[in-house]
This record gives sequence, structure tokens and C-alpha cells, in this order.
Amino acid sequence: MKNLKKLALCASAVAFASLAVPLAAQDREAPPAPSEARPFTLPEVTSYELPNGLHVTLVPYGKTPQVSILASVRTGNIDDGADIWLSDLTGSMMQKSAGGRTASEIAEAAASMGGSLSLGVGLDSATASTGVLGEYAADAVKLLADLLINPDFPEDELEKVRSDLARNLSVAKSQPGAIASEAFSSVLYPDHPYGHAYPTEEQLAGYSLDQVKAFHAANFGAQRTHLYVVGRFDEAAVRQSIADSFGDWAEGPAPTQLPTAPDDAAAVVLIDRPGAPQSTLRIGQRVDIPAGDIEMAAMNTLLGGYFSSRITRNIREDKGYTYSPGSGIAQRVQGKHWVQNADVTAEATGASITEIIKEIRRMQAEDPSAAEVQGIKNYMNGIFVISLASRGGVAGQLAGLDQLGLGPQFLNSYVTKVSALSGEDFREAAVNNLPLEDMTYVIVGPLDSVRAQLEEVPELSGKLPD
Amino acid sequence: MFNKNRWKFTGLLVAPLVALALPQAVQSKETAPATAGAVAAVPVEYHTLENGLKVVISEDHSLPTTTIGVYYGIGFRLEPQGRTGFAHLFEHMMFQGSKNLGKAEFIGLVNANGGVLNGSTRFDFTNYFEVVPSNTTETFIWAEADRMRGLDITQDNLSNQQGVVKNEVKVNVLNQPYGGFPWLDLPQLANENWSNAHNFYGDLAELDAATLEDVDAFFKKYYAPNNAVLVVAGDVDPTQVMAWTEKYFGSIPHGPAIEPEDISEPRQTAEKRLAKTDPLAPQPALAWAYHVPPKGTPEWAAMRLIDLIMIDGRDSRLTKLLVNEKGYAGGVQGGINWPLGNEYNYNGPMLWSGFLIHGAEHDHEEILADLDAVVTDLQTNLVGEEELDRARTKARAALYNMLGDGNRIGLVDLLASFALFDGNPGRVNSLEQEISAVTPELIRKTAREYLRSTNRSIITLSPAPKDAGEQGEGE
Repeated sequence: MKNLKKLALCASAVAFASLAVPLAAQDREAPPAPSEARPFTLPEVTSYELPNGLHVTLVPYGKTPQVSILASVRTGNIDDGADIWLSDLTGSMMQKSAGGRTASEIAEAAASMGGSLSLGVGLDSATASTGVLGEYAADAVKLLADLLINPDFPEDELEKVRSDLARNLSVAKSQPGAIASEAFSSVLYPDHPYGHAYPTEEQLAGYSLDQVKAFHAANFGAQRTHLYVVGRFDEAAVRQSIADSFGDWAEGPAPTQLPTAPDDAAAVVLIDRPGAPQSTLRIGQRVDIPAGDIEMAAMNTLLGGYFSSRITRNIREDKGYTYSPGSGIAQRVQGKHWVQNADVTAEATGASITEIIKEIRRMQAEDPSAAEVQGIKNYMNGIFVISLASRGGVAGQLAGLDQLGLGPQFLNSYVTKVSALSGEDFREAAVNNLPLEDMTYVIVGPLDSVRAQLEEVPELSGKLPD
Repeated sequence: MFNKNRWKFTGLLVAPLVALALPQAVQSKETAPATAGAVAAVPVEYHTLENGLKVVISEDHSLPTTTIGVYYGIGFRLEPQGRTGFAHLFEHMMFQGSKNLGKAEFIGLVNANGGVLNGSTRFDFTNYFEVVPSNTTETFIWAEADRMRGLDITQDNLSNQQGVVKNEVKVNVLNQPYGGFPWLDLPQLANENWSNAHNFYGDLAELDAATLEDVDAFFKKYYAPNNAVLVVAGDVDPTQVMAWTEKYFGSIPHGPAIEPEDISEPRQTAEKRLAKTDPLAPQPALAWAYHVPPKGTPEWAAMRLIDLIMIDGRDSRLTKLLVNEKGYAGGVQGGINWPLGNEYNYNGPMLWSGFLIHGAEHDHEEILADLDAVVTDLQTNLVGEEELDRARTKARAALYNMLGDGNRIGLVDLLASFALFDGNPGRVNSLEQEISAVTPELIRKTAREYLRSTNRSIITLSPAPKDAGEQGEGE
């Protein structure tokens, strides 16, 4: 193995600062104040590479004798080209038989070790993962390697898998959320795999087994793969198993680069869902920020990203228009966007959009209060600890950071960066990243009653499609 | 939260990604494991205050957080007739204001201190829990006591949450294909007793009919310390926790005794069928449910093993046959108390259910014939040692996943359920023995009685004909 590096992520104490909550009434009792914050120690991370370019990260972790093994391969829809979901079809076929074992036999082998093995295909990566009893870690590595390296691609499974995907496709296209997200992505990422959420039925029906085999051969390889082993396990045995199982894998290509820059394409998209009791909203735009941008993350949290956010308090807790609104930053390898999601009662579609716009304007116009800023800092630091409280959480966080090129060192500086946030950072992030003239609005709802409401919203009225 | 698929408050699955601004959730879907005796016993302290409040403390210093749960012994089974959905609506009321924390302030206090929270309504309890930095443990014991002491709800707040809950029903049921299928539908078909057989999410008109008087009466009847358990798990000193608990909860008065209600179900003697048309669904679907053996019986433990052998996991018999071999569906899901809970967190009649969305090229009867074949095999032949071992390993894995998770939500749920229902939270340390005592003979005997076709209910779901453009039926 080359390039052995040992990265110790320790002694980063997360201080949970106390926060005096302002109380309206004089006769109210104040909550007991927090005591001194306790330290939180990040797990120790060891990383190395095999000669064929496969990355490995080992993390001793946890109190139960279990281990999570996750392999993130930098392929997925990004490599579909014009063949939308060919990567999904390939991933499903890989699970049907590998290393001479059928899906049922793989499942039995994994279950005997106390786990299951699965592979999911995403936009930027395909992720194979399993969790087993720690003593089986080395065996589980081998099982997982077979899935990635030695799929059998039996001819007689193709039509079953194709039928499964065709059903998934038809179900997705009947769900208002999926319909809205597809339309939203197609506006934000035109002519890019991120903008092609679904194939046509005809397309899906046309893919051949040879195409599946070719996709696997061209896109799965050592250089694109990062293996994470998190939990309690015998390190020497696991290293040996990784070398034996993955050492002969072809290097394969480097990850595909297909960057897509924001182009300010703003649109209003209306999709009719006759008789629907709600409108499903996607409001957002592309953002041009560095990966892991803390200021944007903090601003998003306050705006719509957590339960106490301004938009949620407004359209849910004040107005009762919706149940589960939320905003987020989709940080993908080739491009990023911000989006506010909400399913709002149909009669309040226009009013909901008006309130969301109002909250964005307010964030751009004035710095949040000192209490709001401190609350967000505490929240982000608290979530930081909570999100690293499981083996799967640790593996998933590390894989996400590596995929974005941030690496585990991002965790070391996270709390320091969050603690340095100022109110001005929030305002600037909103001004710089969410100009209202670039906002895209997707509304899936009963247009016979919704359209008139949208004509009353100044930001939309001149842009409504026919 | 009511349906597992949606979040009401900033849930753990949602919050970390949003807040950390990381890319897609690369969560491993795992059911991990362990060998017998490999995990140290969970520390469990159990006390009861004079006012009847049960208190469970589990010390664990692996992370500087504390998980606090308050579980009230009132679930949607016992909500009043004419007020379907009320137990869940009431859950929302618990966030709308108490003496010292106004509307939204409880949530704000948790979030601003770096914590997350949620609440949920289930068959036999309503729970409220938060994961917070451990240096704020006293703060949240105080806050939970504040809302147990009394609520301060205005008509505006009630009306607001009626709007929120109606939107919850719309987003999870009315505007979705397969909305409410089969988790709301199966109990209504399979059960005879209204408590078990009504629409737990609630009829929209009945949700609208709720009044402040209803809220007050429900709180007085069910939200007393003698009908609740407080669980504090995490980075705490148990002696200190008991002192805080006495200080903040001790003076809340004991409520009136709660008369047990009849929630029993008669033995089912004929198969039930329902054909449902879902105009929003593009593909047919099939669901089934069997009544499970009473809790605490040997047959109940055998039923959990049947669950593991039949449907829980990719190596299950139904997955191998219906998915891998026959290719009816991409997956088959189900379980005991599925999908709203698990085999441990309920206290009354319960169903073991399963469902799949399948292609129109396969008839419902064709799939049912295969289900029957799998059931018949289990009723006829003894389960082999290898398969039984695998099922036991999976059971331990599921248990260790709950006990080993650093956020301790599964642990708190087990401790609370065993305290509320069994008066024995220490049962968490004997679950492996319960499972390992089951024999192949008992599995076969249990399958013969409880997987009888006359003990089951079946719902076939069909998409509307192509020319029907109407919006879905109400629930």
C-alpha cells in the first residue's frame, strides 16, 4: 500500500454555549441554565490506498461488537449519458448475482453474519453497504467486493429487474413530490444528468444486457472506489481481506468530470394535478458556493432548514398552511442548488409562496438577532455530534465529505467555523446566493383554483406559462 | 410524527444533512448483529415517584448527549368515538404552550441548545423525546415537567394545529398514491372492536370538530404522572437525575385512576377481503394481515421468529420467493406492528402484516397462492437449524442496533415500553433469552393456529381505469 496517512481527529471539544431564552411574561419561571459543556472527541480515522488506487478508511468506533462497511464508487447517473437510468439498471442487476451466488444466497450469507448487503445508485456515486457482527468484518469485505467486482449478470434476471424499475418509474411519476422535483431539476440542470430524473418507458424497455455489462466494465473500478470500515473489528485481518479482495481489481477510470455552472435560468413551471387537495412546491435556484460553505448552511438553517426556522414557523406554526416544509442545500459534485420544499393546502398556494418570498427578503434585508445567531450555532454544533453518533452516520458523513473533496479534516475545523459566524454572514449569504430574480418556482397542484392565486403574487404574475 | 415516512419536527434523518450541508444521504441500510453475551447489559435504574410517575435512567457516557423521553399511556386506540384522530391532534397540542413555555418555545429551547426532538402517536402511547447536549439535561427535565403540569392552549393555537394536521393527512394520505395503504386500511378491516378498527389519522370533519374542552378533558384524563414514564438515557449521573426529577415532577398531582377499557378482539374465524380502488395508483398492490398471539405467551415469541423467517430481511422466505424467484415485485415489506412500531412497543391486539406493489401482469390470486404455499410449508415442516440460527442472529442484530445507537432513541423506546406495559424496563436485558427459547415445534404450532387463512385479512388494491380522472378517495 502506498501513501499511508494517519489522520487523528481528536480533542475537538464542542462547546455547547448556553442560551438565555427570552421570556415574555414576567411571572414565568426561567429554564434552569445549562451546566458546563462536556467535551466531544471525534473518532480516529486511518486512511490508505492500495496500489490500484482504491482508497480505504478505517475507523475504530462504538461500544457494540458490530461493524459497518460501506463502499462508495464514483459512478451513477453522472455516467448515464443519454441512457437515463442505465446506471440504476446496472446496480440492480449487480445485486441479482455476484461471485456465483444468487441474490438469495448473498442475502443468506449476509444474514448469517447478522446483516444485509445492498447497493444503491445515486447521481454521483453508487454505494454498497453492509453491517455485520465485528468478527465477520473480513468475510463481509469479501462479500461486498464480489458484488462490486464480480457480478454475474445472468440473462434471465434482466426482465425481472427491468419490470421492477418500470414499476418504480410509474409510481414515482404518480407522486406529486417526485413530479415536482423532476420538473425543478430539469430547469436547474438543463442538458445535464442531474436534470434527467426519469427515463421514458420506451427508453427503459430498450436497454440490453450488453449495455449493462458495458456500463459496469466502463465505470466500476478501484480508482473510483473508497471503502469505509467503521466499528469494532480486527484491523490486521480487515486490511488483509481488503488487499486480497480488492487488490487485483483493475484501476479503471478516474471519476467523471461534468461540471455545470449556474446560468440563472429562472422559470415558473405549473403542472396540473386536478382535484388535488394540496399544491406541491419547489422554490429555489442554483448556488455558486464552495463545497461545505458554512455561511450558506447557517443561513439555510435559519431560513427553512430546521423546525425552528423562519419559514416553518411562519407557514406552519403561524398560518397552518402545511405540515412538513423544509429547505436544504443540495451539494452535488458537479453543481449545487438551494431549494425550499412544501406541500401546502391548495387554497393557500399563493399565500404560502408570498410568505416564503417575504422571509427570503427579510433575511436579505437585515441581520438576524444575536439570539438567533447563537441559537443556530448551538444547533449546528449539536447536530454535528448527533450526526456522528452511529457507525452508519460516521461512514456516511466521511463518504460525503470525500466525495466533495473536503475530506475528514473538514470535521476538525467545523465547530471553529460555526462558532465564528456573525449575523452579517447570514444576510450576505442570502443576498449573494438567493437573488429573487433568479428564483425558479415549480407548482404541482389543481391549477383551476391555483392559477388565479398565482396571478396575485407579483413575483410570479408576469411569468406564468400559458 | 405519525407516518414513518414523513417528519413533523426536525427529525434526526433530516436535520443532520440539512444542517451540515452535506450531499446525498449515503446511509447504509443495514441490520447489524452480535453474538450472545457479547454486549454488556444495559444499565437500568427504575423508580416510581409518589405521584405514580415511572422513572427509568440508563447511564452511558459514550457521547456528551442525553436522550429524554416522556411516554404517556394513551394511544390512538383509546381516543373518543366521534373524535377520530384526536390522540394525534393532541400530540401537537403538547408543543403549543405550557405555563412557562409559550407556543413554539419548547421546540425553540431544544433547537437553540443544540438538540433535536420529535413526538409520535402510536397504538398504546404518545411519546415526546429530545436528544440534547448532556449539560442541558436539567433544562429539559424541567421543560418536560412544565408541560406535564399543565397546558396553556388558545383557540388560535388549536385552530392552527387543526390546519397543520389536516395538511399532514393530505400530504401522507389524500394526495399520494397508496396513501394510507395498507397501514391505515388493514386495522380497519381486520379488527372488530372500534378501538382497533377506526381511522387513526382521523376524519377531516372530526378533526375540525375538536374543541378546547376536548383538549382539556383529554389532558386531565390521560396526561397525569401516574399514566406516564420518564426515561433519561445518556451522559448523566443517575442520582442527580433523580434529584432533578423529584424537584420538577414530584409536586405534579396524581391524576384520577384510569379505568381499563376493553380493547380485546374476538378470535377471527373467517377470512376477510376488501377490494380497494386507488385512482392515484399506477400499479396494483396486495396486502395481508394476521392477528398475532397475545403478548407474553410462548407463541408470541414464536411469532417474532415467524416474522423474521417469513418477511424480515432480504433472506426471508417471502423475499426469496415473491421477489427473487417470481419477480412479482422489487421488494416485500411488513412485520409485527408494522410500519408504526415494532414487536415490543404496543400493548393489546396486534397484526402481523405484509404488502407489495406488483405488476398488472400478475393476478392477485396468483401471488396469494404463493403466499399460501409458504405458509403451508411453515405449518407442515419444521424449520431447519440453519434457518432458525439465522433468524435468531437477525433478531439479535436488530436488538443491538437499537441498543448500540449513540442517539439512544430505540433504547429509550424499549425502556419506556417495558416500564409502561410490563412494569419491568430491565426486560431489555432478557430479550435474547426470550427469542432463543423458541423451538421449531413451537414455530410450527404457532403457524398452524395464527397463520390460518381464517385468521387473515386481505386487501387488493387496483388502480382506477385509465379514463377515470377523479382525485383519490378520502380516508
